[in-house]
Amino acid sequence: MEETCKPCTAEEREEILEEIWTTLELDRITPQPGSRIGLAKLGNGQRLSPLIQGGDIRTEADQAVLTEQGYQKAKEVVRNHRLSERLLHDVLNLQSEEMERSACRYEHMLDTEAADSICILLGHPRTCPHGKSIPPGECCDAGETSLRPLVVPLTELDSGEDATVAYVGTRDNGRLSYLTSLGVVTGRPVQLVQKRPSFIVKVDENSVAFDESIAREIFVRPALRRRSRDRGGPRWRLRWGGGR
Amino acid sequence: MQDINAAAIAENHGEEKRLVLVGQPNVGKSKIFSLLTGQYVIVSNYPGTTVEISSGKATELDYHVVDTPGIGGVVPRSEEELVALQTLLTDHVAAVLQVGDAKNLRRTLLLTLALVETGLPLVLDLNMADEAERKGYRIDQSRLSRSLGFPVAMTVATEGRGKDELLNSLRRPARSPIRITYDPRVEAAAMQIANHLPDYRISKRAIALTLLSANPSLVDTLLGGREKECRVVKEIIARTQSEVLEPLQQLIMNARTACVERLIRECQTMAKGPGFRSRIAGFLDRVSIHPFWGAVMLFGILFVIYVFVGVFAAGTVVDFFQEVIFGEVLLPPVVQLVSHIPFSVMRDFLVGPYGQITMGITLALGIVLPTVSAFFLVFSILEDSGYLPRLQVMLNRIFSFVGLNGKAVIPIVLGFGCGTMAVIVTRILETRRERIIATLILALGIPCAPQMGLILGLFAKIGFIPLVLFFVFLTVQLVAAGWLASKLFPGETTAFVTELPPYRLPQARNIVSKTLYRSYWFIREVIPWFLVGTAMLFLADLTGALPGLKRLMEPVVVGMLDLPAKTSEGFILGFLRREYVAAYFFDMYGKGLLDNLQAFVATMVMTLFIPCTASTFVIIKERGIGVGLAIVGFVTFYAIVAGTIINFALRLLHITF
Repeated sequence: MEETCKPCTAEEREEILEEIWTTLELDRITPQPGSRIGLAKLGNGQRLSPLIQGGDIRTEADQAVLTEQGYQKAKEVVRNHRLSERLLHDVLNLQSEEMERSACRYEHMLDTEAADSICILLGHPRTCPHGKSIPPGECCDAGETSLRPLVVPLTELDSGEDATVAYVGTRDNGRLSYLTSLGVVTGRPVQLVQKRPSFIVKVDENSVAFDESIAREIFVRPALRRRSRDRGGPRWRLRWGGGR
Repeated sequence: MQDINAAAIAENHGEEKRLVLVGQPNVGKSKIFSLLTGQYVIVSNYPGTTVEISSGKATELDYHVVDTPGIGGVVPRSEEELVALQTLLTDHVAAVLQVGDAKNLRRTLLLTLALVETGLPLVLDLNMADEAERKGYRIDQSRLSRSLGFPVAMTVATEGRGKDELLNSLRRPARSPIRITYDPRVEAAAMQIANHLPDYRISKRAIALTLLSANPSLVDTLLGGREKECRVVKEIIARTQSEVLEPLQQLIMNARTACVERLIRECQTMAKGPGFRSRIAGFLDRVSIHPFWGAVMLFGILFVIYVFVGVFAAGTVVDFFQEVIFGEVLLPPVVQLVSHIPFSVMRDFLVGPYGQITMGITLALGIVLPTVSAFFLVFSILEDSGYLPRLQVMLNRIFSFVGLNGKAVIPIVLGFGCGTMAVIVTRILETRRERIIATLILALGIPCAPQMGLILGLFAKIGFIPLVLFFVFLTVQLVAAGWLASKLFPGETTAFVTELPPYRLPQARNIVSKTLYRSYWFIREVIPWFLVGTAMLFLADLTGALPGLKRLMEPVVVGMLDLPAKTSEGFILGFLRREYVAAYFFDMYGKGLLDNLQAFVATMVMTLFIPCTASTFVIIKERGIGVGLAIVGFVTFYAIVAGTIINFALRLLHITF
């Protein structure tokens, strides 16, 4: 099972590079430019020729040597694959077989930027669901300081938190137009006042009340990542005075 | 179609120029209507006070003014929101006055731009200018007027401020030169749709854009009966939608929002310093929607109502009316006067046991009127404060249990005023299913103001614990019935969204005029029924039919409910007016004809029993004959069964209060 995808012609090269990477890992070697691997472990020598011609690997005696270019490519494919697994597993909750099948397709489709976005979204995970390490990308090095804001449904905000509307994901036009009219539109700042007994949001001069099913359709970017773990439970003490 | 023809005829004869008031909910359209026409209409502080069109002649202008229910977005979500759109489509409209909230310019202008599309002459009135001022908003009126291309007025309708300016503006409404260019795909689709639309009185482009923004069902509503056009238009919409990722409405709104933002940058500034905001209002706001303190506040309010209406009005005031005003001042001279009439039948008809004066008038004016006025008074204060929308927030979850959502709080709470009115207000609910469930709950067990007042008065004498028990019983039954109905009519519960208007200090003048208006309406509506009911009892008694009827009802009334046979008279009256039964039982209890337990059972049955003739008619009119009769039939049957069960259960447990 693991990370052996059936190579399809267009993506064959990437698959072989991935295979080299995982084989090295199995041998407890951290892949680097110049890492060596016995040709015998890669099976049929015929299929390596496109890589050799493309400059991803070179052969020295009975060993294949990873070039800088090949290393970068392999790293990207492996990173894509393992990040996809994380995404499919943790976020989309797919079962391992489905996850595997999709990850094998995603690894070839993602570009660096998309992979970095997933990486940020997932909080720079270090290992894939199988426990293998995910090669870090540029976003991970910068990650500690420059986390881009996350988009979350309103239900995930805490009471009193400020946010900006990212989008309203409803297909009911009546509801959409009412929310638009109340100012719940992309880019507008909102404040979540409370979550129980109903959600209440302040936008401009409007206080809008709605139930959870609608709160789940409104996606926002929180203004600041929260520190407290106040999950919007009732606050017993009431402040006296003006609202804003 | 008939409407269009009628309007065309009116136009040919140059009869009347119609000015239509439109605007978002709770911005004061009705108050402006009153200001222009001098007619009184009920105004409150919650969205959805107006559900029907009212119209009247303007006093100082050559207009016939039409007030419409508020529209939340540009796309109607319920029957009542559709009214404004249909008025614009079919009426001969000379001008449109958009009433908007001055402190909410963004929202107001978003609707303005939709109205601009109609090609009708417009005037914009920014109402509640005082609130905007207090918040620190400065609006450059003349600049806004120049940019929009039609007059803009600013008013404080509750105080009549800015009326002259508004009247001046209304003398010169104008079509706006603004033309918004939308996404090319939207533009193309709008053009195609316009080609398939029949002739309306407003720009076809405006209608096409509305259809593109709305759910497909609106196509059926507007083009009902034109099957071919319906199909073609729906196809165009579906095809255009498939070409873009976001909802088409979003594309339309994006273009309008951009224009609104430009206007706001040009015309609105925020004054320095924090805007004024009442500390009390801010505090009340948080208390009233707090999961715990909000509930405490709700019970507090209910208790105040009980003390004021039950103990004070239905107790102290009614006693005074009955004993002093009627007992000592009014009745003796009248009885004296009547005794000169030679015919005993005539004498009995007026002052006998079923006399028009001694029974009909005395019950109506001596018992019901003081109680109901007190109830209308507290009710008006609640309405004007802005509390009702907060109550929606508090009760949303409970209501979702019976298949309704917080929005239904408004008709149900109005039911405590008048069930007839409340059934009409169910129009604000979005689906037929919700309207049926709300109607059932209203018909089954929401006591109307006079009934409520008398229940409170009766229990003020029986005791507070039985009162609490009574409402616990009632609530449990209503929740159970609502829950069953929500299972019986399967369907999704629509999601709840509403806006919360700010708390406002109710104005004494508005409270008084609203209370007087409702009390007056009540007298006019109810007294004839009281007289007719009394006359029927009198005739039945005279012809000997009454004992027969009573005997017919005896197995149920005496056998199952353990009530004295005389209560049957009350139930017979109940078919006419609910408050009549209530007053009748109240009177019987006062005379010692009912003990505490009997009063409890009788009141329960009466509350569950069928609503008065007026609301029965309205239920049938609003819900259709089938559903209407089913509701009425079920309620009657249920009232007797529930009353019997409660009676036997309480007797078995030896609870007699």
